[in-house]
Amino acid sequence: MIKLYYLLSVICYLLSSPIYAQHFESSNYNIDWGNFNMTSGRKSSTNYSLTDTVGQNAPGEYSKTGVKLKSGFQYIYPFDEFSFAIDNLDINFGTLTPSIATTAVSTLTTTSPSGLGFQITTQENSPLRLNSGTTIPDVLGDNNLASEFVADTWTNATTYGFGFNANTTYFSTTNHFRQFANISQSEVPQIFDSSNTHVKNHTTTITYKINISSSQAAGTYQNYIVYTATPQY
Amino acid sequence: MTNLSIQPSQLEIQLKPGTNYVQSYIIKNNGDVSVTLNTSVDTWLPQGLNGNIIYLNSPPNLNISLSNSDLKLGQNFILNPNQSKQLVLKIQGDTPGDYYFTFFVNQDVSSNPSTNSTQLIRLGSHLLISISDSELPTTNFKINNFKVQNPFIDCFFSSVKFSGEIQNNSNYFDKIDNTISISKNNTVINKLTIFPDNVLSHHSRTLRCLNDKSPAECQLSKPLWPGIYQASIDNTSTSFIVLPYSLLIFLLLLIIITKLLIDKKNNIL
Repeated sequence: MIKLYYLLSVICYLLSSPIYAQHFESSNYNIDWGNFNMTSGRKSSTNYSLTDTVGQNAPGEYSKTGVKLKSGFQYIYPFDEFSFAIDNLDINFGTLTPSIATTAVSTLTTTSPSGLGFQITTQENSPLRLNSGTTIPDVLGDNNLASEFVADTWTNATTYGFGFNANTTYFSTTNHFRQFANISQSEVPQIFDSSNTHVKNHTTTITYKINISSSQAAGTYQNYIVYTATPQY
Repeated sequence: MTNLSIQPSQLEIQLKPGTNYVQSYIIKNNGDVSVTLNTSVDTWLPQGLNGNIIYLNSPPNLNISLSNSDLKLGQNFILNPNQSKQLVLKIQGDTPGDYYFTFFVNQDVSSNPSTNSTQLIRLGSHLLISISDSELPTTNFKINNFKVQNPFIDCFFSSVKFSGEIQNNSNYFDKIDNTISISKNNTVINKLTIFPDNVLSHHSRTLRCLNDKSPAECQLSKPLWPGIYQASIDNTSTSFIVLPYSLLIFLLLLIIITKLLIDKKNNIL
C-alpha cells in the first residue's frame, strides 16, 4: 500500500503542470507575486491579433482624491511607443576649399504612436566655430532670405555659410536651405518635418551644406546639432 | 546609430488641486551604441491647427520631478544597447487650469566626441494636464467654417469632402466626441465619426474623421443619389446638392453632336 502511495505521488509530480510566479523589476523595485494573472499576452493568427489578461483579482476603475486608477484587466493601450533614430553622430566635412561647397548627409527615422503624427525641429548650440570664437556664419542664401524659418535657394559659389536641406515639404527644392535655430541667440527651433498621421519608420534625409570664402580662418570648426522629435498631441 | 524610444508617448490626466500623480516611462536604447541621456520637462504652446507645437524655453509651472531614487531631472544616466530604463515622473499642481509640457529624454553632448557637427537627438512625450475640482471639467466646443469643399458634386464620380475647425472655448482640453450626420429629406442616411483629436483650451483643431482607427479626410463616398443633402454637427449644418453632372454633360454633348451632324447633312442636301 505504501509502495502504491509513493508510486502515485511520483506519477502526480511528473504529470503536474508547472506554476509560474511573476517577477517584476526596475532599477528601484523588485516585485515577486505568485498569483498575478492566469495568463496574459499577445496572440495572433492570420486574420486576428488579440491581447488579453485572464484571472486578475480585483479588476476595475478606482478613483480617490483626484487620481484615477485603472487596475487589473488591461484597458486599451492608451498610446504606443514613440521612437526616433539618427544614423550617425558625427558629421565630418573634411578639408574645405573656398568657394566650393561641401555637403554631408544624415538620415533620421521616426515611428509615431498609432493615430498620432509627429514633428521634428532642429537647433544648433552655435554656428560652426573655432575655440577662438571665429565662426562660419549661418547661410543667408542667394537672395539673403534664409533664416531658421525660411529656406532660400543656395547655388551660387559666392554664397558662404552653413545650412541644411531636408527632403520634406518644408523645402521647395533640394537647392533650398535653411539655417539651424541658434540657441545661443535665443532663436526658437522650427519644424522642418511633420505628419498629421501615424508613420512607421519614416525616413528624413538631412543634407548639410557648407561653403567658405578665402578669408575664412583655418582650423577645426565645431558645433552641436540637436534634432527634437515629438508626437503631435 | 542612435535609436531611442519612449513609452507612453503621451499622458492625458485630470488632477484635483493639491494631489500627486505618478507615471512611469520606459526609455529604451534600440541602437547599437551606448548613449548618455538626461531628462527635462519643457513648456509648449500649440502651433497651427494640426497638433504641432512650439516650445517656450520656460520651465514648467507645476512641481514635476523624477521619483527614481537614483536619478533626478537633468542628471545623466547611461543606456547600453537594447537596455531599457524605467523613469518615474511625479506631478503635483495646485492651481486650476490646463498645463501642457513635454517630458524629454535628451542625448547628452558630453558623451560624444565631435569632428565638425555632432548630431544629437531628443525624444519627447507630451503631458496634457488639467487641474480642476471637477473630475470631468466642462468643455465647450464650437464648430467653425464647416463646409463642403467641392461645390459641384456629381452622383457618379464625386466624393463629398467636408472641412471645418473645432474650437474649444473652455479652460480645459478635451477630446472631440462627435459625428457628422448626413441627411436627405430629413432622414439621416449616414454618419461620419469625427477623429477624437485633443482640442486644447482656447484653441482649435482641423476637422478629421475616423477611418479604420486612423485620422482621415472627412468624406462621403460616391455614388450618391441626386438631391439636396444636409450635413450637420450638433447645431451647425451645411447643405449641398448632388446632380448627375456627368450624365447631363454627356447628353448635352450628344445633342450638340447630333445637331451638328443633322446640320451638316442638311447643308449637303
